[in-house]
Amino acid sequence: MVVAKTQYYTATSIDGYTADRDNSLEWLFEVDEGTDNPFGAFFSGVGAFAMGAATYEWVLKNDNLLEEPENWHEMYGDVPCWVFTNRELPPVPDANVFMVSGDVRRVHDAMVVAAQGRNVWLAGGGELVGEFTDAGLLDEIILAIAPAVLGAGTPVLPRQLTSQQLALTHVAQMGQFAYLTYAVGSLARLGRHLAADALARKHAYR
Amino acid sequence: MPKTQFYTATSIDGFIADADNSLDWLFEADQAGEHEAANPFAAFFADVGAFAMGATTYEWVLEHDALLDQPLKWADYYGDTPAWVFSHRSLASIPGADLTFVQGDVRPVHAAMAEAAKDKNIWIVGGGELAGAFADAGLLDELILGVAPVTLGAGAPLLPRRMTAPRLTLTGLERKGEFAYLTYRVGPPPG
Repeated sequence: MVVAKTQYYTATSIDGYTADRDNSLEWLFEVDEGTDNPFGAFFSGVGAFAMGAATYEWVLKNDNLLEEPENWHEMYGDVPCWVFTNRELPPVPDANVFMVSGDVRRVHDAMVVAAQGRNVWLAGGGELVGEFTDAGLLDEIILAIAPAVLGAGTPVLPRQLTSQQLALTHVAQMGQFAYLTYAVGSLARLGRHLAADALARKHAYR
Repeated sequence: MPKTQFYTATSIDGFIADADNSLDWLFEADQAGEHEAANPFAAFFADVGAFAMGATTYEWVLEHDALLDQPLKWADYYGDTPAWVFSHRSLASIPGADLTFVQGDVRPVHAAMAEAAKDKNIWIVGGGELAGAFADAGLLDELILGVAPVTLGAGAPLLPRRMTAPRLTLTGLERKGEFAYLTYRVGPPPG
């Protein structure tokens, strides 16, 4: 049985930055991703996703979404997206996007319902994912590590998580990316096989 | 062809020590999983003919292992492999250890290290700023990172530089217990 998780899937530099100090991803786009970028398979298991205001604004601009809103549909289809923001942001025309603010728990509940048994993807940034982590809502971290050090930028997860709270469950190389997957939470200490079982139970009783 | 390698443990978010300059998180991670037995450091160090570290790293080792009281522990770890310590300050020397205190330009020091190492590799222990100085001079060939299952949020940066593809090439990815080992070939600096 496949059980839904709340997952932080992101590309990052070796030194843990998701964007450089100019909020640019140029360093990422020049990387050889191989023939089989796993994001497509990952996203096909996603039933709801969330991002912070800065991430949303970056996507808006990078994909020219206000003028070409169809680009949103090509990337994300009708999968509902929650954008956490304290500011007024322009919506992508006809996209399934909800602007929210405040407690991540209430929003997460709504996302899980909307996801209908599929996974919840946290697209970033790190601070937003940190709030989900603080609330005990993050189950998995999937990092696509690019062959780059940046020295400064937006931190991937500005929190302290110990080896009691993280368990490495998978490593894979795809092109020049190293993919590391971690189970998150007190369950991580049980070891990766037990963690998978325990996650299943936790979600089944939710 | 011997290489100059920056081999270090790091957190997932790229810190080699936490905000209190502690490595307790690393030892916990080492013992929590199955890493201790699988640790590839001994095999790595067997091919090292000379190594270098910065003042902060040296002082950490000195204090952590109480080397001034128990100087023989140095030989237990590092045998008679010669070490260079970069420091602007005067630091206590460990009796019996083959230590050379230096400062300034890494290039002449690297030349001396290469001569001492003969056909073996040169290990840059850390910290990140010293590794960066070797990289800036085009003297760093490889990064070997043991990524611990930990995020720290703050601390001593792994490598406070900007080095992007294609200067860095992923050449190895291996799991050892709860640690992921990433190896990168480092190309010459641009321009």
